Amino acid sequence: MRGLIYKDFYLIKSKLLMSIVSILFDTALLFVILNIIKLDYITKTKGADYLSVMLFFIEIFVVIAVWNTNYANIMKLDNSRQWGFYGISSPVTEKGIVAARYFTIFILLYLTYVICVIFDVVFGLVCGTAMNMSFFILFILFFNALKASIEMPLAFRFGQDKSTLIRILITTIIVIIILIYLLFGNIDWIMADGGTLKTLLRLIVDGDLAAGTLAKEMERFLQRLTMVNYIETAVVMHLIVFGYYISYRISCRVFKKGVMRDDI
Amino acid sequence: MTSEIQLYREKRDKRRYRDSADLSKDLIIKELAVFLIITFGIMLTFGWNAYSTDTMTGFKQLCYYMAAFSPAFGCIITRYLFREGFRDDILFPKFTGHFKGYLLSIVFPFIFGLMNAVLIAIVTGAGFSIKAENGLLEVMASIAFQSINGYAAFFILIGEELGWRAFLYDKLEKMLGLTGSVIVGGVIWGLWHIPPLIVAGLNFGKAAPGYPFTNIALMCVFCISLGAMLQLLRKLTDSVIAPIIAHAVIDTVSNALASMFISQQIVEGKTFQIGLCILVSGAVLGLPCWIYMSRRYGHRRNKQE
Repeated sequence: MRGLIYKDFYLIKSKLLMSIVSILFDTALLFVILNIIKLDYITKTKGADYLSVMLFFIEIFVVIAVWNTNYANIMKLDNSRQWGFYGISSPVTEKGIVAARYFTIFILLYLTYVICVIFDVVFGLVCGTAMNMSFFILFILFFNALKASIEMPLAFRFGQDKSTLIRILITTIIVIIILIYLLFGNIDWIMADGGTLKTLLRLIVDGDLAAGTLAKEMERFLQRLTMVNYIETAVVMHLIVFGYYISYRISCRVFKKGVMRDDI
Repeated sequence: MTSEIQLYREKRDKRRYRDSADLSKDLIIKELAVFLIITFGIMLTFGWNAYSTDTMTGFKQLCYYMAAFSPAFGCIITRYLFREGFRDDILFPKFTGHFKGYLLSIVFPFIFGLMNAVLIAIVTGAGFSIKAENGLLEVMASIAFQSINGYAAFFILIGEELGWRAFLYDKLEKMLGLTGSVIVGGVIWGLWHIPPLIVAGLNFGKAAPGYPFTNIALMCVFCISLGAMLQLLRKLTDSVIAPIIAHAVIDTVSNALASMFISQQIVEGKTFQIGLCILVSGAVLGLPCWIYMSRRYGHRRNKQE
């Protein structure tokens, strides 16, 4: 299994390095620009909130550049029948191949989180106040893990191209359901005064993102979370972890059928 | 031509990573010395600032991560210097046939947390009623929040377990046997906590009699018992992932469980008693693990010898 993980990372090594280098370059560039327009002035007048907002967006960019891009690259690997036959006949068996792929995805998620934590530390050193935006990124990564756990059995069974189509189909159905709910359901929790959408609208109307409004809104949002919300969030996160395992079991079952399919 | 081939082979052998089984006792002692110098060096440099009670600054955050990951740095650098690599395969989870170990990595911390809750309630005289303002819902929310926190803790505790369970205990076992490794490993692990013990009064508080020496001694005892439990999990699963899970659950969910029956007013000035309760719970849980581990794995080692 370890060899297969090495292989996956070896095959995406250059792309992975490129994405990390691009993040570093972009962040360095950002700091240069900020220094030109006087970072000290900003942190003194606007406070550390300004940087925390910037950090949040940079870490989202890290998730996109490191996780989303390389996840797509990993999923495109070894998509041929020959490899499937070879894999099944090798001592690692199909279970080993599937487990290696799931572990590779987990390592990629972990790597993304580590980079976000490093960014937290660097930004904390720059502005003097400790920052912990990576905790929010953890939630985003969990939902990416959910996405991966839905997509991977499909990719093993029908191939990467078809699984992308199925994913788009599922997404479209979900969007339609949400639209129907928004049109005909009770949406007080979104549109009421303290609702999520109202908060977002207020942000856009105020147009003062740079003054750290987003950070304050996020803080207010966290304060508004009730105890039931915490329990719900924890249950969802544990279910995602369980779902990842179930997805692995399903992938093990469908792997052989995927190798034997006719379109490759 | 032959000499060239010979030279190539010598070069190749020098570059080749060693298996941990091939290491001689002298080399293991050297490895341990380097590991301890790096780990304790980093911890004693950054630990004082990391665990101070001042406001969290960017530098303090950096110090915290440096201190928390010092065993991992020690392990990685030592393995690199001695060309050992990670061929012993303990970083990868092996789920097949090891389900019991992974289940216990969740069950043990829960038992530990509940034992703490019961003992603390008895010792502090708090009784077995929930003191939180919103009752059971608040306790459940606290446990839920801590379980979310557990995922972030999992990331940090890789730093510790990579050094202790994935390196130190294994090396010590080769030198001193299973019992020796648990005792000496526990003492080293306990001593590693000196900065937080002194600066923040970790577990036993600053008002403990004979502070800070009592705190350090008690922490060593606590680490011996908890180390036995974590080492058992590591052996049951043949991977370091189970101890990481257990350690993360202990640091998060177990704490929430332990404070189930108490309130801020009740624990005021009783940090040392609470620390002793945690120590007793650790010993009650760790001792059977130690005995079981000695019976199951101690004999096997003797047979191998």
